Amino acid sequence: MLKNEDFIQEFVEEAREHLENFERILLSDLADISAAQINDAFRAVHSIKGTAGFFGLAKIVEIAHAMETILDFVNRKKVAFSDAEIDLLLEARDRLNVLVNDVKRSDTYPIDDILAKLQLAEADFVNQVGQKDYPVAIELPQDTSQFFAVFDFDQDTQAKIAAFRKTGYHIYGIEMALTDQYLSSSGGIAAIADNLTSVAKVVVMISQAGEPLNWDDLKAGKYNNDSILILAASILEASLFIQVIGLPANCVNVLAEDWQSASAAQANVAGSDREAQDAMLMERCQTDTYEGAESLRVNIKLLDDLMNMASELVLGRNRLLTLLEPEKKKITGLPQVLQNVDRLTSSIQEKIMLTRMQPVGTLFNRYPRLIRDLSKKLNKKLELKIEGGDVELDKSILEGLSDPLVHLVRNAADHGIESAALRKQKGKNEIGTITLKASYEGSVVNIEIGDDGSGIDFSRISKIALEKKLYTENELSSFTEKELVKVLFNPGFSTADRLSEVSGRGVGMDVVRTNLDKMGGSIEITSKSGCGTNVKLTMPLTVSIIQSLVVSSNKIKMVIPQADVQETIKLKKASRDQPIEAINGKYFYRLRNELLPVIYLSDLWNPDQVGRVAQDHKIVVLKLGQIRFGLLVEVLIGNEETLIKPLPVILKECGIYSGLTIMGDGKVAPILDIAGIARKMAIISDAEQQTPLHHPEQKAMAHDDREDFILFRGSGAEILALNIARIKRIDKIKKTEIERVGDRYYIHRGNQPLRVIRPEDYLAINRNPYDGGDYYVITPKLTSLPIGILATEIIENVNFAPVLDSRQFKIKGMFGAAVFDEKMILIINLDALLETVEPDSPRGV
Amino acid sequence: MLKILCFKSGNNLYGIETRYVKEINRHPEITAIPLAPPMVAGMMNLRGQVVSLLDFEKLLGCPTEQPKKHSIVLKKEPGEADVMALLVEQAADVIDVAEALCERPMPYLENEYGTIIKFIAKLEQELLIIIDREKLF
Repeated sequence: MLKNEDFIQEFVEEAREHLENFERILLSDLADISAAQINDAFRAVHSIKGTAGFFGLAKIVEIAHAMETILDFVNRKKVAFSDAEIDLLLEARDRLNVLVNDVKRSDTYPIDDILAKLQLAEADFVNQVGQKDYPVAIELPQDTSQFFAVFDFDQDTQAKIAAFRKTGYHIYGIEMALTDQYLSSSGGIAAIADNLTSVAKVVVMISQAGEPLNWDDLKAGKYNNDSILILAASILEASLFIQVIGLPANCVNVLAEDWQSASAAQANVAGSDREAQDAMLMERCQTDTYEGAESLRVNIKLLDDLMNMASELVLGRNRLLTLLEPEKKKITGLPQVLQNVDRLTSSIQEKIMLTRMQPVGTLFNRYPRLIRDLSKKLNKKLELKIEGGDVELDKSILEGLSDPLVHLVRNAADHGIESAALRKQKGKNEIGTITLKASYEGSVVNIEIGDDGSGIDFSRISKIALEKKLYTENELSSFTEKELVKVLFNPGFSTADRLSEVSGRGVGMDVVRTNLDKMGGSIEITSKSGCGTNVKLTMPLTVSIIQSLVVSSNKIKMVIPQADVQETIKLKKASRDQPIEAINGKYFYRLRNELLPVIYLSDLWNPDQVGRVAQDHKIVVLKLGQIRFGLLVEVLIGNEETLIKPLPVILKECGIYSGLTIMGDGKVAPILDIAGIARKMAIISDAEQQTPLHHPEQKAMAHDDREDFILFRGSGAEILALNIARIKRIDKIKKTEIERVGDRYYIHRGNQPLRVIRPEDYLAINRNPYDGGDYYVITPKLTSLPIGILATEIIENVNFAPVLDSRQFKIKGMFGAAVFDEKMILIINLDALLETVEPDSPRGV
Repeated sequence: MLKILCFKSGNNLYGIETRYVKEINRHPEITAIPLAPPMVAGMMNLRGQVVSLLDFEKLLGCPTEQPKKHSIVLKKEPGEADVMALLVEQAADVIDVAEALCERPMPYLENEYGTIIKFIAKLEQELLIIIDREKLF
């Protein structure tokens, strides 16, 4: 049973770290593994075993012990390791990892198979070593209480012992004869000291004469050929302890538990503040454990909370500064105070952001294992090079990168690197190299995954895209290599000839891009035939606060992420040389001899403004991947740090917002979704819409283009879609339940009539008389009038990011058409549909 | 006994059970959001939290031109992602209404209000329409 819930989490974290170290050591080149490294691996497993023993986690102890035994053979008996043992130890490590991660139920996992394997390996080793060297039975230390009489158990010592006992330590008395022979065989006093302190904590160390000793004196050779007496605390069981410190068993004495309690009674009389001392001691023990490390474990939830509060603080500060601006001159000393608060707030936020930063190395270090496994599975020779592991990223971004990187590394190994034979034939090094590299670039971090494989085979991409009917032959032949790369991001595209264990489930790059988008990152692929492929991920350093440009149009304030803004241009009414020119209601501006499509921001919600007032406008030039376009606004208010708040569900349909924010004046303002605007105003073409390779716009953390839709059919063949966010309920009814009153239909809902409509009656789509038995009634929510929508068939729920084509589809009551799963679906604009149904019903905003 | 927060909208007296109400705000500062669905009056900042403000009358389908003074911020129910508030003409008192005074709504009213009425309470001076929080959105 678990003994202490509070400490168990600490154990898990520690164990994970140990397991990571363990793996790292075993993944080093076999020939290079030094004895010291094996020893480190041994200690890693060993400390897991020790602590697990304390918590009574029997199965973890069993595996750890078996692993330890194997390592011990290598460590002490100088048996050579082979690849097979490393594989076995890694497998055992993985199993241990599973148990550690589910520590509370670790005792329920079956472990007999792995234990059997480890025992088999152990038996092998025993044969290799021969019976002679292998100590069949370990002598147990004597329980010679009189030995301890030489120590002076003063109050301080008593307290220490009590504290150690509390945390599961055993107390040993050691008589160490520092003979020349012992010193030379164990590598000198320094090695002895290191060895002992690695497994035990020295409580008291005295000479035969009873004077206190320290390691420095010993290292100076003062007590050679003398015996020294040590009182030490160790988590190890006696038999193991003796093995590790390498002394004869009769030199180690165990301090019995009752012995301690007897004298503890004395100590109790002596000191009433024992508890306090204990606490102090525990603390001292803790600091001992983290000796040298200047870091501290902090719960990530606490950091998240701090981060949120810091963000609020920044906004509060901004608000305060705005409000007090006019008072600055009236109150003496105010400007200095404000400046101070301003500066402090910024640095608090900055420092808290820093606490969440972690080196990319922690992530990169997971991949050598992957490469090793892949190399076996794919039967290719692979090597992983890691650069820039010390580059730091926000923890949440780092975590979000884990899966995409696994995918990209797999892709590189599976599709990129050729087989060894083929590489040889091409005159390349047989060993394929995959490089993981991180570097800073301004306020972003670039992460590159490169391989020296064959590069992307563009003709194969075209072939597959054609086979899968993603594009027509004409389209494909006109594509440049850059455009062909984008095809890779098409959902459902996968170049793997077969479904392999390694990659090729056909969801690959699409998912990678979606994940990166969510974090505000972007991806770029370059490839050189025969020389390899390079995938570059560009990630923001942190999340949730972005630099932004505040603009206003029609007196409505909107926020544009600064990352999307390339430049701003002020247009003067008077200057005639650079006007906005129009073609068929589309506007353009000549920007340094290049034609820049421009949009009036207010056109988005108030189109066809007749006789637009000629006034001073400003163009905000935005970049969306390779495309640039301008947004015409009336006022540029300025730059502000903006905290992104997720977009409420009811605003998702608008399609032009990525989130909301609270501004310095305390008012809420929407953050514009540049890609959404471009889509809405048909600035970007279809191909680019489907695969916007470059997505530099910052998005709210909670923002996701994917939405849930219900697909259904009316009486026609068209598939209609309605956003689930707008659906209250769906009921099945019999046709006979529908009653006709004039040209309207009603059903009974409860005891009241509810008007129902056939959407096909109000949309310009096919309709047929209906002869089936059952209808479905979809009741929408947040509508201005109670109404039900009739469907003949509910097809399914889907979650996807609709790519709307609203230019070819101008049907009133619809957002447009989108393609999902190779079928065309029509997405209903509920509010517009209801307006068609009931033109007199109120329209707001 | 039901604890009911009363509010006026149009010519009627409405009520919502206080257990659903987080707080009432006077003259909220509303940011209108272009392109939002009609019943969305806008967004407001409630001490650092963004609240979606719905026009109660439009939600009901019987809008009036009366100025709306108060917003009733609702508690977030499980499963709801956003904090919602109702923009109403005027919030009034919290009163105790005996269940005995409450009647289920009759079909006669359904055409106007859909299913969002929970009870109609026969108060001494007037009728109180108690709305059903669960069927609001």
